[in-house]
Amino acid sequence: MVPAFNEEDVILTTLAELAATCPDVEILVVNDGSADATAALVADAGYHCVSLPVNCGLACAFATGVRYARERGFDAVCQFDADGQHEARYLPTMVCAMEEGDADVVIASRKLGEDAQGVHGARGLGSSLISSLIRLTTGVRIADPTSGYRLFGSALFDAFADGFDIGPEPDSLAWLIRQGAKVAEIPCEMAERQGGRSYLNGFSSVAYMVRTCLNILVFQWIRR
Amino acid sequence: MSGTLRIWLIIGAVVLFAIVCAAVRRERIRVADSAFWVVFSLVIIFFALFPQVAYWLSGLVGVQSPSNLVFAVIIAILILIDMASSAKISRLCAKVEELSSHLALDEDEEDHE
Repeated sequence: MVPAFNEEDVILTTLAELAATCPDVEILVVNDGSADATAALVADAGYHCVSLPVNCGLACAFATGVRYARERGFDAVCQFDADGQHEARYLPTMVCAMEEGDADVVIASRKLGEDAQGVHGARGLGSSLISSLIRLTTGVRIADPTSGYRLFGSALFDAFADGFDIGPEPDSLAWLIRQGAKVAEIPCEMAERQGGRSYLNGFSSVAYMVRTCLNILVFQWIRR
Repeated sequence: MSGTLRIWLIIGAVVLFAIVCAAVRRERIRVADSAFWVVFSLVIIFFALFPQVAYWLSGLVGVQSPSNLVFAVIIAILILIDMASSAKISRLCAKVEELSSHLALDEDEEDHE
């Protein structure tokens, strides 16, 4: 599942590589109300594209993909970035890790293995903080909770499709772990984003950190 | 700032925090939207615990009574969040209208197929 918001520069390259590397995987692009030619490009190239009529945000786009997968009885949904950061060659390893480890979530982690590339700068600091908060509150060690390259098993489809205020984010991971979900990680490298823009910049990244920490530290305990 | 005012500020902040927690639990508010109110209650508690800050600030801006400064700051913050809420409601209305027209046109297209 590839959520896309204004990704016309790179999305076709990303999809071509994904389709070539993982021919057995069904690709669904969820166009999150892009103002550019994303949807037209994807559809013209013959990929399956669902378009939200207005921009609703990543959580909503992801929930749309999960609903699609649930209705059609898929085993797992992978959250795959349209901007070229995620390399398709790790996807089979993630599926193996899910089957072998009986995991509900598999994260492609930039911080595992001997020559892990890690996460640098302010982003790395935030990532480490979230990682230690999750460890503190759940006892589970997640090396790279902010990695956006994750595989979710069908046991979690209901939570993402019907749950209130749950998205493919680190704070939801912590909550799911407390609900009994099992998380596994595999080492990976990520490329630089090839185009498009992150939704985390300036003020919104501060708001993101406040929300994430608040959710893990306080609200996780009172949410149902 | 009198001791009574400081105690009432703390009570108010704690009640506010409890209301926010209840709203999150009952799925009335998203955590992202509740963050402002948690930070706001922390700011109130900060002023109540460290009135020196209010004294210092009121000297800085030339307000005679520190408690008036605290009230003014609270009112200013609330006006800002109210403006932000109005802007958000406007955006939501625009989205709902756009969605309705999309739905209507889609249904019309289905009917004519």
